Amino acid sequence: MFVFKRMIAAIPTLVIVSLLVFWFVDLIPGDPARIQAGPMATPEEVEVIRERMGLNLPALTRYAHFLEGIVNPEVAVSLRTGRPISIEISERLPNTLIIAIGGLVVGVLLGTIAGLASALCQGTWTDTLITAITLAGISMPIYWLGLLCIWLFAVHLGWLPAAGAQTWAHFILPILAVATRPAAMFSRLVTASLLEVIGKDYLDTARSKGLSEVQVLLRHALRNSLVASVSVAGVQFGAMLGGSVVTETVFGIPGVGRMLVDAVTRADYPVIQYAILMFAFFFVMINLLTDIATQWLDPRTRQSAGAA
Amino acid sequence: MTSTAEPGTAIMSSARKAAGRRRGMGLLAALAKQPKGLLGLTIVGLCTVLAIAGPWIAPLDPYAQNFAQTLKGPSAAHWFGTDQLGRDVFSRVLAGARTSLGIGIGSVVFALLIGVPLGMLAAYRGGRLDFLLMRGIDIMLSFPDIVFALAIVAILGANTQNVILAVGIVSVPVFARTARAVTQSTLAEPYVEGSVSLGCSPLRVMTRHVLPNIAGILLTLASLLFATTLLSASGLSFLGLGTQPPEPEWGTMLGESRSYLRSHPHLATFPGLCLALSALGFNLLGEALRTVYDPAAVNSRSKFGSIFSDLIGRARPTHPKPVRDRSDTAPALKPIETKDLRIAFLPSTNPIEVVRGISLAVEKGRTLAIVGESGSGKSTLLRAVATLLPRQAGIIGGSASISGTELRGLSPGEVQELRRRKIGVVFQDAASALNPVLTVGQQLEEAIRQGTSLSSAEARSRAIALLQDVKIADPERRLDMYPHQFSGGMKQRIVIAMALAQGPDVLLADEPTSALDVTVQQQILVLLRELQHSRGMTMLLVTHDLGLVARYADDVGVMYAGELVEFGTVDEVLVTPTHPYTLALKQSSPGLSEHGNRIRLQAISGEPPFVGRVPEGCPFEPRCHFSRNRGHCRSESPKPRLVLGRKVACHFAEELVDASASR
Repeated sequence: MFVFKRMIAAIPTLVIVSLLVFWFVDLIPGDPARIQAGPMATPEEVEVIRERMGLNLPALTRYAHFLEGIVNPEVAVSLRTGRPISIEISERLPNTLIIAIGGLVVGVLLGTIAGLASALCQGTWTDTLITAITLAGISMPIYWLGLLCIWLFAVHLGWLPAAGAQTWAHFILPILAVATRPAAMFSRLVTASLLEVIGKDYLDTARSKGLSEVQVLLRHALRNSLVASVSVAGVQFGAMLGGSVVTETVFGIPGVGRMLVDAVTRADYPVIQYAILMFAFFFVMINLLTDIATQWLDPRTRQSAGAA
Repeated sequence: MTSTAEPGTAIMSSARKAAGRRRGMGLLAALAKQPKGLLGLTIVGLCTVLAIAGPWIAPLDPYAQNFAQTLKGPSAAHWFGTDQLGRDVFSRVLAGARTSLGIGIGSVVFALLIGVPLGMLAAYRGGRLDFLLMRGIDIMLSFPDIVFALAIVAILGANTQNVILAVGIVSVPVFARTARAVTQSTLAEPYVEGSVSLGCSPLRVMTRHVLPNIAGILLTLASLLFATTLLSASGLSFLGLGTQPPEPEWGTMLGESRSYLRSHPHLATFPGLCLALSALGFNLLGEALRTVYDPAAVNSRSKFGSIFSDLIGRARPTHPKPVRDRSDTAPALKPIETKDLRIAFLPSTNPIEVVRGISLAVEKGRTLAIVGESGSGKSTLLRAVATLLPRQAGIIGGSASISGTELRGLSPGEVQELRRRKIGVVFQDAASALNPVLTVGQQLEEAIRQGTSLSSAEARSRAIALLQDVKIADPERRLDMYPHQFSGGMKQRIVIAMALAQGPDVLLADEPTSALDVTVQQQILVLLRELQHSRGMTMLLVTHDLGLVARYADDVGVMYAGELVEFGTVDEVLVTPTHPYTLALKQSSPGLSEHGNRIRLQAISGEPPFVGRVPEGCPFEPRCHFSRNRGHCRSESPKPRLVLGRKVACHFAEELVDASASR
């Protein structure tokens, strides 16, 4: 029931988002057709471009065309390359997703291990070191970290390729670079939630049942950070998708992020629109899934939602 | 950026109390006291100096090109080397500080000036305005931050001002949400409601009550947010969508350096380092601010070193196996027995003795109640017997055994086995003794299956039987419910069922009813007694309620300052106390007078001695009515001895007996 309600609630958000993205072209100061045609174009040429961009049509028709472009490759084409935008996006999306998903998996694993170590070694140098690395990880500009990684592993050591997306090896550096932030976030989360439950009586209850310390840790102590972990994972996944505009530029990966940046520099407005729409769609979906998952995982909210 | 929203909303609750106290120099001092704060302040101070003076102290013109000196490495003339146009990188980094940091500050200030009034207004007005604002924020948060900023730059054009605007707009929701939440909770405070009802103008309410409360949180948030906006803004410049060359800006410089990364990595080193260090500084400062404004949100880091220390191989200090006195071994093994048991906190560094030599034994099937004021060490004693001493505590002397198994020197595996089959523990607060995120069935079945090869179906039917044993109706359905769906009494029944899971010999109950209503207390105690009798268990009950002892226990031990001052059967000890402390406890206890409530209750004057600072002689002497300043009591600690069939530790126990006989 909750899931259904939440999904219904996402629909108006998506509609407003699509309207905003559609309206975006009108917000550009000056005449888009004029900008498109360039300063040297004659008024006739500008008219032709205006016609081609569909700027003369009524707003509602243009919006309908805009939405149609999502499913019909013929309707929306790049102003620069003339290729259907939906095809461009579907070619590039896998690269973007591989890096974001890979980054999330690596980040969650590394972060959980670091967080565990930090909590278990409270007050020792291990804890201090992990805390310091975590803070550094949060403060690190990903583009600089990326450059450093390329220099060290690709240029200096020659272990991995520097740029491109031809083989799986091309994805190692970008994934490691984007994993830094989620790893740092998870490390903090795990440490904090472990320290929070550490004095709780139910851990002693679990011990008094005869569970080993490892079982107490995994089944009872870590279990409680699950709900918070899911929402942090959602936020971080979204942030990595958005961050692809930077990552893909640094590592020269042909993904949607790189496409968006190129489109902005070249003022390729339809591409900008659809790329932003795609990011927003993913973002709304991630938020939706995170909400549903946290609701489902937390027994307290689950029960009340079931009763309602 | 989204992540910074979390601390902001989390810290608002208790920050208010702290906010008023910390101002100006006091705040600086509080920050400088923490290593994080000091480092953060230093870096932020350095950043401020650079941002103001950077362009002036730059040794060379950051724009001056020199084609004879392109792409040179660091040297005496050019500390950070030169770039592709022969410009001095050191001068450019210094000059870039103003732009880079200026963009960050500009964006944060912009977001603050727009977001905070919006949030406060929404909270104050409520209704449609509030709804619209929150929906607007929802829509904004449907776009990834940097993508949203990119879109704004795409509309407005790529330059420094537009980056400030773009990153600033993206940060508005963070401030608006926080301001709204804090304002809402402040407005709900009684004193604010009071001034509103007295006709205070909204502006006055905001400036007088809301702003002071919100200031610390906003400062914290601004510092943390600065780190993110700095990185995002420079990120845009890095992509070529922000500050345009030749203007020096750290992100732009990094972007330009990309083409020369293979041959001249020094170009990327310094601007990146500056960015990372500045972000680190503001992050550190933000965290330090958070500890100042919200001490509660900061994890209470354990002062006692590691937790779960068994896991990482540094097991608690290994105690030598105590030498068993052969001649002393009784033919029948006592279910619970301690001999001169001593327990201290921080045994290795700074020992604080809380249990100071306790010898007791409980016969099979009997209930021993341990009574005493809080801080007497009674709970620590129970935890030691339950093998559940907190990490920071340890047995430093004597022995403790369960059914003849000495507890000291057991391997972790042996401890687990003992906990599974021999010991059942009932905790004081059933609500916190149950894991909130697991169903009752999961927790009960876990206890049943530990160390056995039972199938889950068998475990479930055992669990149902156990719930029936503790008189919970409809057990089958209840097994799939979560702890929060049960009442306090029911939760305690579940905890008891878990303690009984593998048929323990001894049941250890630490104030099992003190968190419950009086009527429920009775039911739980009756249940415990029935279960004890039907299963032939031995029980150790820790309580401060003498009335409960009189009704449900067989034996009683009175603890004071870590010592057992009187120990005997309930009939002996409670009817004719021979220790002044027992007598004082009895006179202060409402449930014990046999003739109704005619006897006036008497409070025990004075305070129990502070743990670890027990005075010479008898610890009860300062509060005792019988010592009458007799030096004996002050110089010599009384040893437990047999008086009228029970053990008592008082020099003048006989006097007490005579006094009560003559009364």
